[in-house]
Amino acid sequence: MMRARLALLAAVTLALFSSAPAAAQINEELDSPPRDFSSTEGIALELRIGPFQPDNEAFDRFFADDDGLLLGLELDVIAFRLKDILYLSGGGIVSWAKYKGTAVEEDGTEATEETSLEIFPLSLLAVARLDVLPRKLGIPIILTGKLGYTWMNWSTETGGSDKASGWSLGLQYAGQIGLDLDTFDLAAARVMDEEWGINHSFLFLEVHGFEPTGESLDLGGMSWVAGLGFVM
Amino acid sequence: MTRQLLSAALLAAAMLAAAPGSGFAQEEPEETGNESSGGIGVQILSIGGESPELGTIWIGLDACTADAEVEFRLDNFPTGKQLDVYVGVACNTAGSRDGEGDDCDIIAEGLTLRGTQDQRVMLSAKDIVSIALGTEGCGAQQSKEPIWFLAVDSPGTTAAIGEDSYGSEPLNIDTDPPDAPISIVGGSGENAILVEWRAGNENVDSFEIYVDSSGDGTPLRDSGVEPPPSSSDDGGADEPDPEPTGATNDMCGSGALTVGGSADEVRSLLTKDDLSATATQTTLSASDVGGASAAIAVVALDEAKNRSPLSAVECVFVVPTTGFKDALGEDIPQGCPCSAAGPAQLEGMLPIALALGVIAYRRRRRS
Repeated sequence: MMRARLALLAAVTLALFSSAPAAAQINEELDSPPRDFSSTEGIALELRIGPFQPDNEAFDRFFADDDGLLLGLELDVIAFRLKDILYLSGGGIVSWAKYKGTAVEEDGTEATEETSLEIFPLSLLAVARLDVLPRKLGIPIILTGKLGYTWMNWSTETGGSDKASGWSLGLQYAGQIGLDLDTFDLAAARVMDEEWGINHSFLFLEVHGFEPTGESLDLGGMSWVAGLGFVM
Repeated sequence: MTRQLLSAALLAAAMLAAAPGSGFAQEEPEETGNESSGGIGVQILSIGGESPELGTIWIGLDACTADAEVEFRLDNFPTGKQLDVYVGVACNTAGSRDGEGDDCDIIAEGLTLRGTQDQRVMLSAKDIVSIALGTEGCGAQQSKEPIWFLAVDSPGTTAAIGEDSYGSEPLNIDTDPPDAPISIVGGSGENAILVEWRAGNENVDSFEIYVDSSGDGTPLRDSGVEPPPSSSDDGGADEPDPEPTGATNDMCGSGALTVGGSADEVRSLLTKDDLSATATQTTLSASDVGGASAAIAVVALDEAKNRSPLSAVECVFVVPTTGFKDALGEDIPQGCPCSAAGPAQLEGMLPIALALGVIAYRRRRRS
């Protein structure tokens, strides 16, 4: 009987001692301020699509009806982060568009032969992204400015031959307004961060321009592009 | 214990017999592209002396009209028996060959084979087609009833044939040529001259383009002669071309191409038989055209290689054209001395940029 009582006492003591740290931890978590769930922000990624037509007389003659649809991917590495206010980044955009038109005969009538132009712009940019409005004021607007340089490779052919190619270099600039998606569903944003490391996501509309140098084929112009962006 | 050992031995023997490549396993018949059934192996070796392509083997109108010989190879033919050949459905069953109804029709009866393996049987394509289709001549129909090779003791027997004493082979007969292509459009250009058309009906497997060059003579483009009617003039309506009239196109070509006619007499023949049924346009090079202009026509082919009549005849013209490059002028600015690089280099930068981004991202996460 004595042995049974001693065993019961030992078991109760062991249970009390083993549960004490866990209880203390629970109390500590309840008392402490909520943990900042967000992971470190390293890069911004943009998937971009939009029309683009260079301001070029020859282009207008053959490809006036073709918007091309400039497809692009931008990757920015975040160099400086002023928390909940501003990102300063350096990044690049790789884009592509192809235009198709009809060659013309000597008398100006349209032949059935195809003439085409393909552009492959590569841009290096400095990017300033201001996200103070959604983070501090709950207004889901992100404002972004970009300035940099573009190397645009172009190539053309008519009827599968008569080919030419070259580069068009010049200043690249852009202004972007973004719609911060985190503001609308913070819980989903938290899940995306925990599962994928995506801190923020946003839709954007960007106006961009390209000013080629005098030595380049003039394939410059202004246009707009829309897309989806992520900060990771 | 003895019983267990015996069972194990039997099981092992059964597994060995079932294993592919084992001495016990039955040899599989050679791959022909068609399935055969029964104990006799059947394979079509040639039609008109030409080996058929792998896949579904067709007997077409050309083989029938030329009365080509179709060569079959038979294997595992039982000794001491004679060969009856039928076309129809389930010709090995009793009653299927009694002449009542239209189950099976006899092609050959009482043939004698010298051996059991690699026995060659030659049958007339015309006989096969006319019997399979039930027509006098080659007809213009399709049939996919199998051909049956029966090993019989008495020729013409209507009794059921055992599993080891017959073989069959799917027989694909098509003596119905496709309709001529419609809506032919001949283009103009300097290096790539477009030719477009539409299939006349759905029974099409490929197309051939025929070019009758005018040489370097002046195109008769302004001669005022109206081209023959074609559906390309009907605004794309779905109605087929009118019946062949024998007309050619007086504005181009030598006149050898005639609507609904044969392409056999065409000079400067260009055949594009690698086009699929879905490819209803192609481009000709200037050398294909062979001069300032040419007449073109299109022929459709079905799976059995039956050829449609020639389509309407249209013209293609080789003319100097101006494209984007020409519009840029003589001295096109190159931008920089980096023209050795190109899109391939830029494409290569994308994964590099992504890799750099990922590295930066991981370093920041670690920190």
